[in-house]
Amino acid sequence: MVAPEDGSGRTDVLSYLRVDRFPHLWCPGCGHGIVLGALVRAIMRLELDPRRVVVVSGIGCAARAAGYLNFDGVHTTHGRAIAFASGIKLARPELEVIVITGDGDLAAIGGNHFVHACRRNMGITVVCFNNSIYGMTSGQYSPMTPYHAMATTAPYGHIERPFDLCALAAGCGATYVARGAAYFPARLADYIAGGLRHKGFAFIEAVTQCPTYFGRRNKMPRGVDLLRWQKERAVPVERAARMTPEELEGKFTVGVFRDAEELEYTEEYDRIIALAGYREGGESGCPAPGR
Amino acid sequence: MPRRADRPALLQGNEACARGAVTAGVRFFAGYPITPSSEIAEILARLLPQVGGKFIQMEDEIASMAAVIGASLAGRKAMTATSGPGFSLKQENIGYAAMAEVPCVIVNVQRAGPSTGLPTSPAQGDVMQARWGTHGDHPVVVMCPSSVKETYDLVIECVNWSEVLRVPAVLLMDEVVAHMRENVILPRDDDVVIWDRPAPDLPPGHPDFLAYRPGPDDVPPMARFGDGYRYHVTGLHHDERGYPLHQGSKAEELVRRLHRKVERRRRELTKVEWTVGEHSGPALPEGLAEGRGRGAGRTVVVAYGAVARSAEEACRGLAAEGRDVALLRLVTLWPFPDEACRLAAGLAAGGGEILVVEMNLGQVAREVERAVGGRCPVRHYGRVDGELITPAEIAAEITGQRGS
Amino acid sequence: MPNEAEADSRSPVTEPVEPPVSIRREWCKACGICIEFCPKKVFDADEEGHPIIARPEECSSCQICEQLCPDFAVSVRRKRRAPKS
Repeated sequence: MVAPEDGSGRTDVLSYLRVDRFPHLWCPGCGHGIVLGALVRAIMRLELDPRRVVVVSGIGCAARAAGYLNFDGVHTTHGRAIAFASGIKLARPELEVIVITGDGDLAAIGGNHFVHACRRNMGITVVCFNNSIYGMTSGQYSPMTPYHAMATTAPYGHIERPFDLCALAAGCGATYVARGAAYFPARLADYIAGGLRHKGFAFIEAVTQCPTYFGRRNKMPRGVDLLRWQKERAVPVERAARMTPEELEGKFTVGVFRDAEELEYTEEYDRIIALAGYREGGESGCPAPGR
Repeated sequence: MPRRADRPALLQGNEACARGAVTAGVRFFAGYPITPSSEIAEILARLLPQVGGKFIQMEDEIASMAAVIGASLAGRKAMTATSGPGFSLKQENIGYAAMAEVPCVIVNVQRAGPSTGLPTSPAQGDVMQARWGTHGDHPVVVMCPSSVKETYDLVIECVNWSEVLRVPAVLLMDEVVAHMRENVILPRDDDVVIWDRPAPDLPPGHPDFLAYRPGPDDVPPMARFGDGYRYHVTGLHHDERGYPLHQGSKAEELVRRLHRKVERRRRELTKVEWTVGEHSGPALPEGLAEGRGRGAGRTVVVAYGAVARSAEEACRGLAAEGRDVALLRLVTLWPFPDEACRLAAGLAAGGGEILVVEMNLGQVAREVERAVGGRCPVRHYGRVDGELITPAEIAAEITGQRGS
Repeated sequence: MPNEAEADSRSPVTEPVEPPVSIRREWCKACGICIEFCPKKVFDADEEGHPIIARPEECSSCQICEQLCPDFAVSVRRKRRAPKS
């Protein structure tokens, strides 16, 4: 990538996007574009080779981000992005595999793949665009819909408790776990960059907003209202450590929760290949297609 | 992989499947344990790293199918193996592979269903699921071996066809073939024909590159992820760039092309074997192919998989007794061998009949009926109790029909 | 690439100097986020809710609007650092 002459970073951000498909399909005030921007800035900052980046997504509003990124990308089936990504990464560990997923995609239909990917520690970076609702299908509750919030399938208020996705990921063995929010895009980009740099499985939850299907039903009809909510409720993890559970009521923590070095899966598998007596190195068994 | 000598090896069907896959160039397997297919995963867990390939046991069958598609996009020939319940779980992603045109092979070792059924008993109840298991009109290739050796050969065929057509291919085994052990002579690796997916003519970054622009054979050349083509793959209807589209006419064009690319190769794809008297081969013996009206009293048995072995024994026994019987063994199930069935109808026309023998309640029999279009009677004999149909049963079915 | 000149021509800018911030109106969905969260209140809303660069001289090039714009419609040129003298 060529550095922009004006130093704004603007030229670069758009060069990573398929602007021929813009304006994108997300609603006015939707936070997904903000999170996508943070992801692009993280990739730019690390100067990842765009030919080696593969973006994998599932189904839902967030999943459409894969189609806007100018990398190899797979927009897969609902919930299965991490499983597709695991196949790509194991087949070609040299690729930088990024999963873009929504909260329903990741934590409901894709929950099983998520917990096992955390456990396996394959070097995939998962960015969850958590807007607390199923947006694409117009407002049903997700595993991240807050207790007592309204949704089309919770017309009297939601009676389930949401996951703490970061605690779940860490508990399942994810070696890099962070949470940011759309309101803090620069820090969100930092967390994503940290995940991309990390060798094992990285999970970044991006708290984002759906004004259309979550906000309107919950007295925050504009993206602005929901961003303000994020601004007021986000507590850095360092500060949260000094707060009581009562003080943290209704808040969410942001920051890096875990950054641990453990053996990465594809490296472990390379050891298996050596144990099995295979001698040649490189990409054997996977020749480049002849031209 | 050591080159095998031309000497017999005692192999199980599942083992032949695993070995054939490696010979075919499969370098990625993702699976989930399920009887009676698990040996395929176990053997590939051992073999694949020996050739620099990758094996992973995923958290379920859905994930296995997904990982296989991912690996294929990344450039590896990829396969999974399962049985009925797992085959059901894989269906959505099989449809994805059909739509996104990602080569992959799914081995389904059939067991008695529905549902959990009889996990260790054979059946042939997944013929229609193999064709229509995932939603929407999708293309698929399905082949069905009758022996250990043929399992080896057909898994290679499935990989080859899947690669060149960019279509999911199903190797539809049954528990008998999977667990049976036979002495087989495997071909030398050099004697095996291996096909690769078509590669793009244009270099990465070329402005004219379109990931889904089909070639003259209706198959788009396939770029490998990570090579710089930077293209988009989706299960949505898409244009030649791979971008989602919402225009009905374009969607129809795509679905029709997906079918056309398989139909174009129908003649090569649909394999059968005829057994008439001493003759056994992919075509009818000379003179018979055109023969019409000589079939008074002739029975043409149609069978596939393990049942075809029973049918062959029954037919040979009856032929030795002077009965006019023939066997049409279906090797390819989808695309369905319509033409061979019509030939069978020709043999049986004028007083004979076709007897379809299968371990289900008539899944192929109805297809045969459709194919022969009333040219001769089609009768079905099936069982669904998890027992292999025996030669004696088939012989009795043939002779009993003569009013003995 | 966003055409800044085009954006400027649509903005009622009276400043003789080119403002560091520009809006790509065809991508803008008038969500109001840039208007609300600009720390210097550079923007006003037009009658359709799209941002107008009302006070370009106030812009500190902090890029908060650019990073918060969900539609990639806002871009900010960083101010060149004044050479040390």
